[in-house]
Formats: sequence, C-alpha cells, structure tokens
Amino acid sequence: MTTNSDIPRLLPGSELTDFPPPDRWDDWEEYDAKAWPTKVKHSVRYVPTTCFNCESACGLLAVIDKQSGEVRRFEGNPAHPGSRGRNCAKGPATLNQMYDPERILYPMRRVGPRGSGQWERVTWDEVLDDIAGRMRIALSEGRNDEIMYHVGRPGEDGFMDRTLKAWDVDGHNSHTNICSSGARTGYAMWMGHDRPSADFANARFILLLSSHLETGHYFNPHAQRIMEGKQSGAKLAVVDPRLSNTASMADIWMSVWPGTEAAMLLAVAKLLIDRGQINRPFVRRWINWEQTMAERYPDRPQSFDEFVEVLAETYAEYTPEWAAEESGIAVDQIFQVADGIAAAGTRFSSHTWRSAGSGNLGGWQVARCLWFLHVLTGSVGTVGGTSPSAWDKFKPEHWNMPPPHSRWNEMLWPAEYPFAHHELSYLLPYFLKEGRGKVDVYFTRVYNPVWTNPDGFSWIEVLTDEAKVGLHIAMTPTWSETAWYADYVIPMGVGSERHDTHSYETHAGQWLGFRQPVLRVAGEREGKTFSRTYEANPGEVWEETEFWIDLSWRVDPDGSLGIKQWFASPNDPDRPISVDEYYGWMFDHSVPGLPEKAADEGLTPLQYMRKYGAVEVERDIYEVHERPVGGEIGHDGLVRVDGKVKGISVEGDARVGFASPTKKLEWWSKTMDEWGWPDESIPTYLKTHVYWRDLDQAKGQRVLLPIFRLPTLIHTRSGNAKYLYEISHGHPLWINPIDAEAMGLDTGDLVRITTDTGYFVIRAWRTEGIRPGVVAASHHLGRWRLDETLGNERWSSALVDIDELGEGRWRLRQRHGIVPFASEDPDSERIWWRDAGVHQNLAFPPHPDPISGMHAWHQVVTITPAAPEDRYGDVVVDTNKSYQVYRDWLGLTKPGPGPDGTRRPTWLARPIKPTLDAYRA
Amino acid sequence: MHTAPDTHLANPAAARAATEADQWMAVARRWTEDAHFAVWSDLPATERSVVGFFDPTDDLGKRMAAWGYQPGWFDLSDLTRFAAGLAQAESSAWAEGRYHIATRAYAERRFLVGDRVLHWAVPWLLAVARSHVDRRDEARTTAERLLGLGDALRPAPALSGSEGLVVPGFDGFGPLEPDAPMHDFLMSLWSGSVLLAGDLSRVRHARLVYRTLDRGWLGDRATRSGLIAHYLAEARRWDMLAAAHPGTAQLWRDLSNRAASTARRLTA
Repeated sequence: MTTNSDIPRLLPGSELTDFPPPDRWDDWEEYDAKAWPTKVKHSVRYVPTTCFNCESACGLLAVIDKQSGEVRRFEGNPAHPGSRGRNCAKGPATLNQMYDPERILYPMRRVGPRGSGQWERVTWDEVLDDIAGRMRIALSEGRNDEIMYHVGRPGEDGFMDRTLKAWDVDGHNSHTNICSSGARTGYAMWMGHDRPSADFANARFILLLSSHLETGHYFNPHAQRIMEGKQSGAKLAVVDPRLSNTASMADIWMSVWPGTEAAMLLAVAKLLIDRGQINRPFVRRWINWEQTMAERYPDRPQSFDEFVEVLAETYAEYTPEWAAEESGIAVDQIFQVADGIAAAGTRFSSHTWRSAGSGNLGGWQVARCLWFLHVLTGSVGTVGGTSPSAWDKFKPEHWNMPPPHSRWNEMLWPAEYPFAHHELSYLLPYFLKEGRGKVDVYFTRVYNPVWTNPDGFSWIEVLTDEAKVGLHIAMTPTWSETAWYADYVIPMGVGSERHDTHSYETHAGQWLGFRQPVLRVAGEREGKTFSRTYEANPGEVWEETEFWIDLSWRVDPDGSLGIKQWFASPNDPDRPISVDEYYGWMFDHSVPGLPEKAADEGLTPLQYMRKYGAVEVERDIYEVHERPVGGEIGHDGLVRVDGKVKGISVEGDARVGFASPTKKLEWWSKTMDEWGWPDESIPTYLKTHVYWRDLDQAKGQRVLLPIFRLPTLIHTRSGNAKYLYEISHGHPLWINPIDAEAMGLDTGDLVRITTDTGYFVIRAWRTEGIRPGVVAASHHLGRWRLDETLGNERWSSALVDIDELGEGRWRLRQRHGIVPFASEDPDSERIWWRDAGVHQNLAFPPHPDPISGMHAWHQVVTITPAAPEDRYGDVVVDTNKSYQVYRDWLGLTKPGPGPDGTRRPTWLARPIKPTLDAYRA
Repeated sequence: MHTAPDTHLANPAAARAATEADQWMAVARRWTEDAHFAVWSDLPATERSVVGFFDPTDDLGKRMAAWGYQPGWFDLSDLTRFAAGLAQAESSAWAEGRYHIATRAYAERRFLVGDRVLHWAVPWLLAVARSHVDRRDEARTTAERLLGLGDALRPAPALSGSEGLVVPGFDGFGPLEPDAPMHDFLMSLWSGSVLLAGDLSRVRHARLVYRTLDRGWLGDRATRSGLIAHYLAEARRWDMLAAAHPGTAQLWRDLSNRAASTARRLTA
C-alpha cells in the first residue's frame, strides 16, 4: 500500500485506456485519428459482439461510424466476464476480415470439374433449393448417414445439435481428433468431464504443459488471470520442449523430451505420496479406492491405508532421478515442482490441452497423470485449484429441442475406436477408400481439412471423386484450400456478422456470451428492418442460424419428414422461426438472473444481451462435487432420482460428485479394464511413437514438433487478416545450434524434412530456444492457392502447382510467395512480406491413437540439407504410404463391442448422443 | 495527496502493485538530474546517451501519451516515475475490478522495464558506482532495487540446463552494430560496458575530467591493453550478475558476450 503523494495519477483522464460508459455506447463522439492534428469529430455507436477467431469467444465492441455506417474498429468489451475488456491481436483484426477486398461476398457454384476453379455467382434461393432437394431425397431413402456436417470452429453451443437431431442424422463430425481428444480422454477417464478449468487468479502454484493455452485457445482470458495470480504471488512452471512466450515468463521451465511428460509428472506424484504430502481426507473421500481395492486388489486388506500403500508401490519406480534422465531435465526441477505443489496444497492449478496430449501415442495419459496431482493434493474445485470445465460453463436451454436421434454412423464412430473422444474425422478419406460408405451431402463448416488435417493429398483425392463425396458445400468466411474442392462456396459471417451463444471455462464462474451481427443491430436501432442478416452484412454474407432454419424448412416443406416442426415460429407455425424469437425465448426462460438484470434497466432479456453482449450467470463456483443432492441411495452407494443417477453417498453424505460411472474420481478405470486395456486403466507412462532413445541421431533423425501456435494467427480463419500476417509471416524450422552444427546448417539454409510418407523443404533457424534432438515448426503457416487471383487470400498464401508424379505420388511446388497486388485496399500494394510458409501437414501420415482416437502429431523425421533440385516450400507425398501407415496404426486398436454389447461406454461423452438403442452393436 | 484505498489490503495483486509503485517512485525521486548533476555531466541517464545509435523517445512518447502521462526528459527518473504511475494504476484497477486497466498496466510496465529501462539503467548505475565514489552506495542500492524488480517481473529470465542463452525474438539491446567505428562502438553500451570518465582515466592512467575517448588513443598499446582488461573484467561481472538475478539474466549474459566479443576485437 502506498501513500506516495507524487506518484503520477495516470487515471482517470486517459481516454485511450478506458471505455465509454455502457449507457453512452449508442451515442458517443470521438476524434478521427487520421485527421490529426485537425480535430474532426465522429459520431459512433458501440455494439458488442464476440470474437470468432479462437474458441475463447472474447468480448468485442464494434465501433460503428453513424455517418458511413461502417465499422471503424473493434475493441474489447469490458462487460464480458471472461475477457474483461481485453483482447489479443486477433480480436481487432476482425476489421480486416470484414473488409477484406478478397472476401467471398456472394454464394458461388462450380461450373467446371470439381477443383478446376471455375465458379458462377448464384442466389441464396438457388443454394437452398439445390441442397435441400438433395437432402430430402437422401432422408426419404433412409440414407441419413450420408449427410455429414464437418465443423472446424464451432463458435456456438447447441444450435447445430438441435439441427442434426431434427434431421435424425448422426452426422456431426468435428475437428477434435486432430485437436484435443488426447487430453479430453485423460480427464474423462478420471471424472467424465473432459477438460479442466483452472482458477489461475487465486493459485499459489501454476503448472502449464506447453504454451498452447496461453498462445492459442484461451490466450487472452487465461493469460490475464495468470498475470493476476503471479502478481498475487503465484509461481509459474511450464513444461515445453520449446521456449515459448509462456515458458519465457515462467519461474521454472522444463524442456523435456517430447512424450516423456507423464514420467516427470508421476515422479512428482511419487514424491507427494512418499513424503506424506497428499491430502488424505480428500483422497479418502473422493477417489474410488473402495472399488479399486475390491475389484483390482481383492486379495489385499480392504483399507484406505492399504490403498495408499498400493499407490506407493505402483509408482515406486518413478524416482525423480529416473524421471529426470527419462525426460531430459535437471532432477532439482522435479523437486522444485513437487515442493511448489505441496506448498500450494489446494491452491494448485494446472492446464494441458493439446501439446503432449495431441502429439504422442498414448498422449492422453499426460492429462490423466496431471489430474492425478490434483487428486492427490485435493486441489479439485478449490479456490486457486482446478475444476472440471462443466462447472464453469453455462449451457442455456434451446427452444423446442428435438429428442435424441436413434442412429449410429460407423464412419464417424467406427468399431475400432470405442473410446475415441470424438469422431475419427481425419480418417474419413481412408474409410471412403476402403468402401466403408459414401457421403452424399458434405458440409465443411469453417473447416479446412485439406490444409489443417494430416495427409491433405488423401483429402484431395476423395474430394475430387464424386462417387465418394456427392455434393460438397464449403460454408466459410474466407477462401480455403478445401473450398477449392467444393461444389458450393457459401459465405458465412465472421464474429461481427452472426448470431451465436456460447460459454467457456475461463475462470471459476459462469457466463453467457451473445454474438450478434453488428451492422444489423445498428441498423435496427436506426429503425431499419431486416428479414435476413445477409441484408445487413457486406455483400450477401449470411449467418448459419438463419441458414440452417431456412434450409431445414425447405428440406421438409410439407412437414412430412417431421423436420419442419422444429423450425417453425412459436407465434406463427406457417413461417420459420426468427432469430429474435429463438434467442428471445432462450434469454427469457433459461438464463438465471438475466430477466432480473434486464428488468432493472427497463430492458427485455434480449435487449439486455444486445446491449452488453454477455451476462454473468454465477461467480466463485467451487466444490460443486460436494453440493448436497436429494434422492434414493442404492446399495451401490449411488443416489438416484426417478432411476437416474444424480450423485453418490460419501461417508454418509449424499453429494453431487463427478460424471464418472462411480461418481468419484477414478484412479482405476474399471471401464478401461473391462474393454481390454487393464495396463492403461490407471495413471501411467506410455511409450510415445517418437521416443527419444529410439532416434538414430547420427543419421539425422530428430523429433519434429509441428503443432505449436503463434499467438497472432488462427488456422485458416486469419488468412484474410492483413494486420496479423504483417506481424507473423515467417515459418522457420527451430533447430538447436548443437544439432545445426552437427548437420552443417546455418540460419536460412534450406533443409529437407523427410517423414514416413514424403518430405517438405523449409528453412532452418538456429536457436537455443529448443532442446537439442528436437525441431519445431508452427502449424499456422503454409497457405497456398492454385489460381493467381482466386482460391485463397493473397495476404497469406503462395501460388503453387500441384502435380501428380505417379499414382498417389504428389508434389506441391510454389510458383511464388506472397506478393503485392492491386485491390480497392491500398494496403494490398504495400505488402512487404514474402514468406507464405510451408504446408508441412501434407507430409504427415495419420497416427490415430488406439484409445483416444487422437492424431498423434509429432513425427520422427530425418533432417538433411536440401537436395539441389529442392525448392523452398516443396512438399512431396505418397498417399499409398499414408494409407499403409493408417493400416499399421489401425492394428493397434481393440475393437468393440464391449462386455455389455455396446459400441461404446454409454457414460462417455460424445457429441449429440443418440438413444441408448443406437449404442447396441 | 493520493492514498490507495483500503481494498488494496484485501487484494494481494493490488497490494503487490502498490508496493512496487513505492519502489519505483523511490528511484524516481532519488535519481533526478538536479540531485546528481555531476553524474549527468559525465553521462546522462538516458537510453539514448548510454546506448547510442538509437533514440527511443518516439516509442516512449506514444506509450506515455496513451496513459496521459506528460513525459519529461526520458531519463531514469522520468521512466521510473512513469513505471510508478503504471504500478499505481494497476493497483487501483485490481482493487476496483477494472481488469482491462490492471492487465494493460501490468503488460505495459513489463515492457517498459524489460525494453526501456533495466538493460541500460543497471549498467549505467554500476558504472556510476565504479566511477563516482560519493555516489557508490546509492548507485549500488538503486541497481539492486531495479534488479529485484526485474526478478519479480522477469522480463529476460535465465534459462535452465543447456537450452542456451537467447530468448527468441528478444531485442533488449538491438543489433550489434559491428560495422560502427570502433570509437563509437566503445562509447556505446552495445560494446558490453558503460565507460565513464573514471573508467577511461584508469585506462589512460590519467585523470580525465570529461568522458572522452580520443580516436588516436586506440592506437596506443597501453590504452588498448587497459580496455581489453576492462572488457574482460566486465564480462565476468555480467556473468556474476546473471547468476544472481535470474529474472534479467538474459540481459547480463548478452552483455557478457558483447564485452568478451569487444575484448577480442580490441585484441585483434
């Protein structure tokens, strides 16, 4: 506390650091910065929405010039409980995305062969009628499984669920198995809930595995709370082979060998157990030790002390010294982390999401081992601890939600992967090649599998085969490599041009965000009326909520398919429901406290959400598992209401518990044991496919980390953001000087990176920021297009040729990198950057983890100086080899059904769960 | 008189930022040009003077303007006063729940500390302690205070194990300027040391009233030997400082490398 009288008072009076009060958001005046030093006043309107670029959905304020009707800029929204008025670089870049001169403004239909790049403009009516007609035939013929919706960035919660349920289609296909299924599986095996929610701001010790969280998803909401925690005295430890921005700010950076993270974590667990630093009351109360002792160790004394002894024996081999050697770090770092966690006690928070979980065979166990530390210390759901994400995510009800469908799509949920946390989306090309089925109507929705998924050439092969993919509709806010191979490219809105609701676990609280089309909202405030959002957006850019309503209406115009009923207006069943009716019902009926807050300001709930863009539902949410629950306690200890399990009796108390089968935290997963994975059923260390001791470093083998993010880019969606590419447009291969010396490489040298299926050519960058033996290249660069002016954004893509060198043997070669171009935006002629990067994912074969289904991204590669014929950006791939790798990894699986005859454990989460009947194999 | 509200006591982040504001202000008060006129006459305490080759005032001016801060001379007192203001703004904002202000003030101060203050101010203070006997204790105390703040904010942290020394993207000192004339280079911190009049007097074995390095002196073997010895000693001192202060160790290791490199250039 200070009493200094001469500390300069920077606030208030500094308009550049604060926002206008919300009551003046509709009528604010500001000076035109470009007119300086002349003072030119502008009347502006602030309209809130949420960012669509990454998952965290931070609040944005669109500053709209009342005179021109255009958005002048985007800022943070101080009323948003998750982002609290702050944004990363990607939020303000929404402006670029709206006014990109290369933008797709109208629906387009191909007129030549698929992939030939010939397009004609069509109307929305033509689009809707054609797709709806084809869907109607498929549904009428019972080919529901041939309709597939493949989503990249969902950015919404629940609307698509209701749409697919209404269609009776098990066609939800997500990107999750190339993203986060690994970590999700690790968390789910403990407690059913599939992701963590850390209370960083109140933590005493923070452990992060990789930089992903703080440079990718949740970068802004979490980074600011880590900042808050550090300012309050927390220590930060980061595990990452690469010195990321996050790692550089850590008190302890552990640069481990990729795939050895679990060894290090279990060594920490061993120290906590051996030193008696575990939270015995919590462990006794909440771990499934009784079940474990009774069924896994029936011959041992059935006591809690004996269970602790089992833990000590199980992890006896994980000595800090062994783990330090195994993971390649100093042993004192393991002691430091154990000491820090022990001292923090219940104020220990952590996070892992992609990184080790998505890089390695068996990577899902990293999340399981990390959560083990929380269980041991009792830092589950505590102040400064880590909660299951579901506790901090608010899910409103949707109006008139259809019942679950009764189908099971084997191409999405194949028998080989009963535990896969999400659909086996990236294996679709191989399933199609094997003849497991076909796709008649295929929506890629804000998704770019040709570029984002491994082995993109296999995707091109199936997307250009109309016998395998009948009609491909690319729903996208920007050009993409995949859209090039579509039949329709239909323009969808960015964060300021669409309606969605969403909520994410940013802290120990719940909130609901409302994305809205800001030009439509501004127009309506001026008295204009719009029938559809594309009437207010640039060109005819539409939003999905209205698109799905209108499409569904046309699929079933007479209601005979049973679909129309779900999309009719509650006020007039002869017309489709409007977005105001839809979200108005949601805000009126299912958001606690919102009607009261709105009434306090004389607003309806919908008006309140349109004014503020978000609402806080609950704060300081802790220890939900300890909440009392009513119901009947069965002989198995489970608490049931009307036959449904609602809780667990714990030491005589009926409590909510967790979402696992036992409602406890499952150190031993009986489910995994019964389904054939007994060795993997407890937290353990699994050998990765990129194990460092197996490398032949003398022959140039190294581990490639190909999945780190740049905080300024976001996959396909940032390709049209000139601000962001001006910041991030280099794509070096990080290589330690020790490795570079051994290979005779200097910064800027071309190197050939050979994988199991081909190679790519990239430039080396010597840096001590990566451990020797490991190289890394971000997955955010390497965009390309096949036409000089069409097919991708020229701010970010190279012009390339694709040649088939033989059957299944492909080469992508750059004709030129990024160059200036003439457009209505004068900045396009000022482009000074040239490097579009290298599309490395093309050269990666699929590596489906047999349990989580996660694609294990890390690669063992051989690094050599480029050959004379090599050029920067070359990628050469043999898809026959990719298919063989897929078959090899398929051989690791243990197909279902399970012991109860189901395709998949019914308690495991999956998107859009069908009826229980559908689970029967 | 501004007094932080009592709510600071209940909010640890606010309390810590308020404490930090006090520490910055203490530096700002003590290290004005008026209080140390003789030292300023030797070498003003500004990044522009100490580093040379580069004038940060435009960058600083924009950052200060965003916060409504009226800049002075962009010297040590001015910058630390701005840092104190940022810390105080952060403290109030944490206490008031104005998180966009708190986090922005924190990020701005961390940048200020790492990129605009510590990397030149600590070397300058240590050079003052070496050359101005009457200011020795005060200069050392202030340097330690800044280093302590650096350990808290960690703008250029030490790495562990054998990972290496260079933070990717780290640009605290900018380019090496190897093509600059040797004379200009030696008078810049980019050589790896701040040379004040006292240092040059020792090298020349003669008392110099002003900080001056005649180009002709570089041809003198004894002077050159003295400079080599000075830079080699500086390299060792920076290494020791890096070991003692992990939050800013990258800065001092960088200076150590530069000092050793300068010694080699002088030897050649």
